[in-house]
Amino acid sequence: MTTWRNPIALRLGLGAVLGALAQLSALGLLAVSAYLVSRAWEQPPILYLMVAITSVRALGIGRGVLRYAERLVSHDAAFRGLERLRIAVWRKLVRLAPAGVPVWRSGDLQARLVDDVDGTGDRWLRGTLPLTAAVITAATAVAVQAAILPAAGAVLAAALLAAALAGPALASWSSRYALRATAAERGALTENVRACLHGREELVAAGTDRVALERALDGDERLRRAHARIAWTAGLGQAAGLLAMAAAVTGALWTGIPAVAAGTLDGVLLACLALIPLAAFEPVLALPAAAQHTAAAKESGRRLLEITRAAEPRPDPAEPLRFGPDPLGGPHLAAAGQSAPGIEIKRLSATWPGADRPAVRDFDLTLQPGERVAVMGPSGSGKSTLAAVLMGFLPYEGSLRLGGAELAELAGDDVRRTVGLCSQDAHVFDTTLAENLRLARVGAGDDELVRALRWAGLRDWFDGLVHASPDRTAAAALPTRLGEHGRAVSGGERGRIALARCLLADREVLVLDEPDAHLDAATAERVLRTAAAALEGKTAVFITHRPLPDGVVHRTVHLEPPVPAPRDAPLSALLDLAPRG
Amino acid sequence: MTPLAPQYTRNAAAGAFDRRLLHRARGASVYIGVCAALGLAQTACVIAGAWLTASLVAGAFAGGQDLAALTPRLIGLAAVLAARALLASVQEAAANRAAAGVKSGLRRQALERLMRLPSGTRHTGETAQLLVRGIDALDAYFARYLPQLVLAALVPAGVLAVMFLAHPPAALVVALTLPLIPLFGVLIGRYTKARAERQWASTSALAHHFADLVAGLPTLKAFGRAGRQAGAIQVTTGEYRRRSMALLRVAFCSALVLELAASLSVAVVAVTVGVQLVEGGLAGQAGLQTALLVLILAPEAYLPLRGVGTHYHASAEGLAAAERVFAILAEPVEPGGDAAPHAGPAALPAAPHLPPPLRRAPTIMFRRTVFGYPGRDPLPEISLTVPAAQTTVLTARSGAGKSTLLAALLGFRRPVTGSIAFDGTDLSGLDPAAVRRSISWLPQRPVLIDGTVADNVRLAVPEDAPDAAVAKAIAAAHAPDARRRVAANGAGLSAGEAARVGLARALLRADLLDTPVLLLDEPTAHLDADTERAVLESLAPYREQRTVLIASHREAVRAIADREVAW
Repeated sequence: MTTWRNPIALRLGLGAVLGALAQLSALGLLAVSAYLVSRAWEQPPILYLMVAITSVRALGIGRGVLRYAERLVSHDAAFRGLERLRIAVWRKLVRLAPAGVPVWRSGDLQARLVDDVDGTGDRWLRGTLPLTAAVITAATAVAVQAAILPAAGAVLAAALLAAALAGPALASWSSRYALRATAAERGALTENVRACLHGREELVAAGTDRVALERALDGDERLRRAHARIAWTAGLGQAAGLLAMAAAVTGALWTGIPAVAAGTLDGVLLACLALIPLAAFEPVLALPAAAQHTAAAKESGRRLLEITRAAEPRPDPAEPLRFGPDPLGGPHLAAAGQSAPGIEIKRLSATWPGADRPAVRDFDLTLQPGERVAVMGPSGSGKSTLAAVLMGFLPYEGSLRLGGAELAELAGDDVRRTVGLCSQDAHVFDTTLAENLRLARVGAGDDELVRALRWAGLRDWFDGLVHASPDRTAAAALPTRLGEHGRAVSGGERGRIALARCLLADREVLVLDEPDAHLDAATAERVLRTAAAALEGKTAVFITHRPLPDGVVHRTVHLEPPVPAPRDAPLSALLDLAPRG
Repeated sequence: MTPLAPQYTRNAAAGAFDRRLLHRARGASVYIGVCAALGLAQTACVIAGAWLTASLVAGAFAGGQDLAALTPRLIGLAAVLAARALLASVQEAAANRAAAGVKSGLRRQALERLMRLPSGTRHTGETAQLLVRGIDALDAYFARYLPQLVLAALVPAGVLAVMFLAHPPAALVVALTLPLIPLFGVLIGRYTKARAERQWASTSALAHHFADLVAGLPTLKAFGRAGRQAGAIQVTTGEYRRRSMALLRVAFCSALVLELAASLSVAVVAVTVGVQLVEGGLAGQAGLQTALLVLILAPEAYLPLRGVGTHYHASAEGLAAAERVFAILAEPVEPGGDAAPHAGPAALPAAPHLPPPLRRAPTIMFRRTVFGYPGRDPLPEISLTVPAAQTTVLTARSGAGKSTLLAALLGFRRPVTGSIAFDGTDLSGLDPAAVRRSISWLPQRPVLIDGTVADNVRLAVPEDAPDAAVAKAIAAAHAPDARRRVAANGAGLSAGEAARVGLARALLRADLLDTPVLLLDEPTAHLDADTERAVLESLAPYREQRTVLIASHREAVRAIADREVAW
């Protein structure tokens, strides 16, 4: 990732050096100990051994201390890298949302995005760092071994190379193989288990819970057999590394013993020759695990890259028109009498990124300042697309003038300072009710929050909160936590909280996307009427699939789904339509 | 956020040998036996390998033997080392086979339990993931951690025994330092436990916070608040990093003790035997061989202990999943949950004083009933009489508790106060199984399983339903073709089609069991006006002589009502 900038890279480099030094201490400890024992057997004056004795002790301490330092340095670097990555991803997402990424269509993808950021941070810690340490240690070991006896060095090099290549390759092959052999069964089992749990009451009531359970567990039995069938592949990577080590140790002695007999190698060094491979293989045997971490992190990184490389759906114009509440800059925002801007839409077409045909085609609509209009149409007619265009989330063809200014020439943030959106899928954050509302207007007073809730038809609901609060006051009810870790909010309540937020934000133009979804007819009528009263004087577009009660809007226009051109349809789709025998 | 998981600070060896996991596991004791046998073989390989290496070096250097004389021992060394590699592979294969059986058993127990626990308290998608992917993550525990634990017990013991025979002072060095490792592990673990748990909680809180922000990004952007969040994220994560590092500085000390004990004791052994050799205490080829043997064996005593920590770390995910599964297995079952007629030997004896099932269409009465959900305000009090053999439509506003009323009749919700009675008999006095057998119920979102439409409709009754009856129900509900494939996730059917499969199921049950009560929750949701009319028409014969309760706002449904109730 390009986000790993210098200070973090330096820390990571330091971590890698410390890690390699720790491994080299282990190597040195074993080699010097072996030399010490062999040389001591020749019973030289003990003075000759002092260097070896001192360095054995130093290396013994060095290994532990260096490893400790390496862990601290590399973890700190990983945390910092993660921090930077999180913010970079967030900044990019801000520019893409909501049209540029499909992330917001599924909760699963959101969770994955968060995991992917963490997973990418793992790559250095558990992938690159162990690999660096292994390479440095292995290279040093080969050099030392070759200095003692070139043939032994060659054998060690070959064995290490074999282990470093075959171990991770076999390990990743076996895990991919296992995944392939079980993925379909796992997916089906998950769905069947979910169905059983979801339909539990229906199944228990019908007395068929056993039937459904056994059917789901048939899938579990198939999964068990698949796991058992592929079990033998799991240890292959580990076994390959250990076999290579066996070859290296045997090979060192097989080349060393004749050399000692022939007098070309000092016998004192034979023990070093036999023990160096053991230390050299220690980091190499950990490579399969490191490779798997790297592979997983790469996958996370690839998915993140898809996001960071995604094209911005509606980039801001290079020199945006100044527009907004500032009366000096706004071209024709509003007359001094504070009336809201009008909207003039001509031959508007808009296409979502990745779609092959426009969701809205050649749409015309004019709203006078302060007019409320319903745009009604069946699902698929492009109502929500129109909302996205009006919010500056999506580019368009044709013309859309907001208070006389062409929307495409305005910066997105400026558009959204004038146009507000009350969306059916607005998010309720896992925080307090007050904070959920205040994000619409920072610094709004408690009384304003309560008023917005009442306007949005949440009077009864809020009274319930007040009743349940410790001292039964509005001030005590506003800090009630909502969302996942707080109070559960129903679909209808969520929509009305979104409405309250929009009324609080007090934009001059408001787009209401299905404000009555999840509400029964009586509640919907009440909410829509109070909302209409609150919006008096503002320009508003009500997007709806059913007629609104009288008096909510001044008039209603219809939006038809764009007719797909038949020649666009691929051949396979045409074949699908053909009647079957 | 992975770099900091609580396992760093927990003592790996203590308590991780989870008895519950082994107790629950089919064939786990056999597997432990296999692990022990393989562990013994691996210990023997370690010792034999060290002895052969020492004797080869001593033979060539001190004994002056050439390759020809040493070849048999060299072949022996190669064989022992290769056997060690093979044993490791066999170990892992055996472990994965055993793990497959254990996981399967755990999954069955959990799912059986879940089917008897009250719904609505947990997220079904997450729970399904826990049961499949979560339990699969136990592989690392069974295949790596458990065998490593066995090795950590056997190898040091075997190595120490051989070292004591060969060279008691060196053995003493290892014997004295070895216990330091678990000791310090426990001490540091205790010292950091509370902090680590707090930190772990804040780790998941941080991840959750980020996920929440990402989910709400379109909303933040609409209000022009998205850009400013970057600064807030920076502050939160920076603070988090500083606290994490403060904790890690202490937590990594347990690894430091392990590494220091292992490498320093090797150094001490080397110096001890070295000095002894210089002083002539260990002379000749045998002396050198002994010195080399203890030098090679000393680090082997510590090696399995290091592995325990690593593998415990890798199995944390599986253990966390197991922990959650055990929590599920410990939850109390739903009242009446045991009484499902096919639940096997656990079924309760049926209430003796009432002949199941109800014979005629009953009058159902709710007397001042109030329902409540934890964490929410109670629903308004309801008093309602559903007349026998008539069709009553509930048209109360959304969220008023219509579905709750229907679920209460089946015994899945209990009123907080007030009572429910069938023909004057309180529901709590009736055998839930008998009541359920008298009711056909269409819930708002009927269940779908993998199979055909007919397979799905057949879930109406525990017995095998005749084809003709299935066909009749499918026709009456205007459900899709009986042979259409359906996936458990609903793929293959539209929402309206799925609803009609559910309706066909309810009608089949009404037909076969002649249930006197029919409960329909939004039977015509997702249907266009023409289909709705057709479905309601074919419903007419099923409404005769039955007490029918329908929850719906639809005009066409209200038109067939004998009685309409709103509150």
